[in-house]
Amino acid sequence: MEIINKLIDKSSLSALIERLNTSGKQVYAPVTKNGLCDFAKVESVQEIDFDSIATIQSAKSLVFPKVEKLLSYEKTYDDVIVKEVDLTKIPEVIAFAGRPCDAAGFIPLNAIFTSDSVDQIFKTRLDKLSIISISCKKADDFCFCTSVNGSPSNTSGSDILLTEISETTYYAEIITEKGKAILDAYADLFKDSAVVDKTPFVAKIDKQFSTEIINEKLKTLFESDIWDHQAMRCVGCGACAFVCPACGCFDIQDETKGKDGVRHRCWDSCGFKIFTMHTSGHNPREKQAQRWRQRIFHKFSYQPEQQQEFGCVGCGRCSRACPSDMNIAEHLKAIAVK
Amino acid sequence: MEEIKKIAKELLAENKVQLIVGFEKGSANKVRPAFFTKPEEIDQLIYNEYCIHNIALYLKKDICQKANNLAIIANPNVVRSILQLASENQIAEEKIKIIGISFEGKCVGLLDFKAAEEFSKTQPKGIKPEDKALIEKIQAMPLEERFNYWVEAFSPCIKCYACRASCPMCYCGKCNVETNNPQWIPVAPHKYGNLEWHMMRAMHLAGRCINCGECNRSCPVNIPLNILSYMLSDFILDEFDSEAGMNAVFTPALSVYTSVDKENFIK
Amino acid sequence: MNMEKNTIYSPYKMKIEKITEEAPFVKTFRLKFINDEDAENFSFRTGQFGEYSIFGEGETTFCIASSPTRKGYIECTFRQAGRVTKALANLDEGDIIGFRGPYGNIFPIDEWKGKNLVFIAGGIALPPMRSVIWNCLDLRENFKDITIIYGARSVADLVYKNELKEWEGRSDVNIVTTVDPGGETPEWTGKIGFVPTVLSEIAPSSENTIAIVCGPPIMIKFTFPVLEKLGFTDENVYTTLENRMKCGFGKCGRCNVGKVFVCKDGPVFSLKQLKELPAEY
Ligand code: SF4
Ligand code: SF4
Ligand code: SF4
Ligand code: SF4
Ligand code: FES
Repeated sequence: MEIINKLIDKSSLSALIERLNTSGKQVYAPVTKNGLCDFAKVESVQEIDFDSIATIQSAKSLVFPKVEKLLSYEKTYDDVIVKEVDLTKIPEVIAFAGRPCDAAGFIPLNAIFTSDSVDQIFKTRLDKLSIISISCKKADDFCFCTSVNGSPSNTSGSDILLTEISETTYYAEIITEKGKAILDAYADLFKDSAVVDKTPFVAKIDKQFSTEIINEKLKTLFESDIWDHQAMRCVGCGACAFVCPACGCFDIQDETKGKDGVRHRCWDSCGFKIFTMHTSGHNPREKQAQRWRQRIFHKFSYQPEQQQEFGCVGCGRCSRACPSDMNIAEHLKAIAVK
Repeated sequence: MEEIKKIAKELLAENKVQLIVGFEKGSANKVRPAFFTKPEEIDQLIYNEYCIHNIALYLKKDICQKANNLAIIANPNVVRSILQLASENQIAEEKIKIIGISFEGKCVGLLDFKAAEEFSKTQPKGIKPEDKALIEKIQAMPLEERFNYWVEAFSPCIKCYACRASCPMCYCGKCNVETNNPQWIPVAPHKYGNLEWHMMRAMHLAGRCINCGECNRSCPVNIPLNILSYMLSDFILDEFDSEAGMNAVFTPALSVYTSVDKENFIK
Repeated sequence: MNMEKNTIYSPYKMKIEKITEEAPFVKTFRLKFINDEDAENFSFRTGQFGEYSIFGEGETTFCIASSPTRKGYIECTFRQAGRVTKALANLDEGDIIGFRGPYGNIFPIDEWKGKNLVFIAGGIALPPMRSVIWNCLDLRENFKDITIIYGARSVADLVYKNELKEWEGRSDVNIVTTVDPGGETPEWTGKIGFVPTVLSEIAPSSENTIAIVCGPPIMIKFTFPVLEKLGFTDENVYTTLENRMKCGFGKCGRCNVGKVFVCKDGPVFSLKQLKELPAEY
């Protein structure tokens, strides 16, 4: 679809949020509570934090929650009744005021969940999600979207991208059919516009390396000592993977109470030692350096080769969240010049 | 800072230690843990008011386990962790040189365990005033409200286990949350899965937590889990007259019995 | 019509029709689909695996140990080790379990037509091999000589004892069984020695021959050089990899070796493919 150019007044956002809510859609947007900004359900525009650089966690939980039911079961005396997830119950959701990197993150995530075989739960959630993002006016030391094929005003992944072009007005790019459906439903809130050059209105982020260089370098670096060196202070937690918009790894677990139970999936991470450990105790990725290498290879070698998508959108969340200050951009830069 | 560097450089130059665990400049205005093996690398070592992390954590990781001997830049939290680890037979005095630094940032030179015990006693508890205020608020709550407070406080937990990974006292090769036969703690990060994980964690650290607050600092979603441990420390000090991180000899509150135990908790 | 599944996580319900004790802590289950339509529509090929579940305990991964030529049921053989396998071992005939599958790639037996086959297996690794052995035996005219070399730590640890006997009785199969030194009983008539040693004694010709190797890592490690000495090229040697698995279809992220997922791109690999992968398994 060709991008439709529109304008929307800031003062109209409140009507947009309210009307989306009354139409039965759930609106999620960045909300700051106790000093932390994360996506939360909102009913009015006042609740939204438009100022934060990026939420602590990505928007991925809207399609891939930290814990979700895959099926439930009921045990009877001599049988088991298996109840599948009712996909029709999955709600329509709007991700509002996330960043272009939030939107871009859904692309590699989608590749994980729908290439080869389709994870219907994920796909239904994504199908029912519309993404209205806002270009970044500010960036911090951890942002590096421009090094991984993104930008502070990148449209990919978003259905509508808003860019603040004046005190009162957003330039609105309607990018997809889903975006157009929103435009059509609330046409009175939008005004026509010509194409606007967004550059003066968004943050400047220097490109530090390219995904091609990283991908090329990794071809010969599997056995390098760089992994030992980089992973020295990594403590092997799940923070980086859990806050990452593009990480899709999960565990499957049963929980029973009496006769009834649920089989659900929850986030998992290649950074954990037990992620790959066999029952025998043998572990193909025994050392933290191997696990860190997996993280980088998965995102910059395996995913692009198998699914044609890089698994990193440069949001910097992993680096902000890391308890031992593992800065992925810095490590990638070191790989680029190795 | 110059004094710290001088001691560190000498230790490496004179081959007294193979490894020094300290800090270097990190991203933005952060500092980060760093490992030094050659005297010339010490130029990268820094110490400033941001160096509050409890790097004693690395003593039980491969990098330190592989070294025959090492030194560590030790703020009072690190010192207390070392003493606690020593009391649990996790680190031998011959292996480690402690470069002690007070909460004010004053270097007190190399400490043996005896001196470390003395130093530990002179330093204030690491608990911040705002944490104290929260503890008082929670203690004033009626039981049910208190329980609900914790259920809510833990519910955003995503079970990334950064808190566990960053705690020097969480050194178990296989954490209880990783055993599944039987499954003690639900794996999923839902409300009750989180509550059970945090209750288990608090109990395993009761009498062992040295109140450094690293778990809370590491938590990406800022859960005040350290508060629960602090409350338990207070309780244990009160009931058993035992305080973690003050003593290099074995003084576990929860696994010994003495005739002077008050046993109030049984009533 | 196949019971349309809402999601790829929904298992078939299967009834345990028969339980065979194979060795200490090792059992074989014969499983039948509860739903007839599922049974009719289900098909798999040799080498594939599935996720078996006990509701309340979770899922566990094993190969399908029966041959696709035997219709109407599937079989699996497992050793009690973790939480789910322990719970499985406590089940009785008639009990119900869940099954998702088939997953993974296959042994390319169509490409092996007109060739000699040498199957080399150790310990509890015979199950994936049993499927392909029976598949080839049921299509016996497609292949030339079939040799089976199977070893275990002790006589008690040999699995599929009845089938081993049956194969011994067949004139169109050349079977050699062996136990590790010290694992023999007074009645033992097979060989005594480790599998790689026995293989080099028997020295099957590599001429027009495919070798299939399954076993513990240590056995595999010492078997490949013997095969190489015998003149087998890497394309003509096959093996299966095992890794910790959860989903079975390349999504949960834990079973990869380099860029391939063992669950989706494996578990069957030729030695040539294996050598192109990083040694992280
Ligand atoms: S890089 Fe940081 S966040 Fe990721 S596992 Fe290592 S310590 Fe945890
Ligand atoms: S790897 Fe880090 S920077 Fe890249 S997308 Fe994930 S969280 Fe963002
Ligand atoms: S980086 Fe690790 S946790 Fe993230 S998707 Fe890849 S394998 Fe999974
Ligand atoms: S660091 Fe925070 S989110 Fe992670 S497991 Fe600990 S309390 Fe939960
Ligand atoms: S088992 Fe989940 S990716 Fe292979």
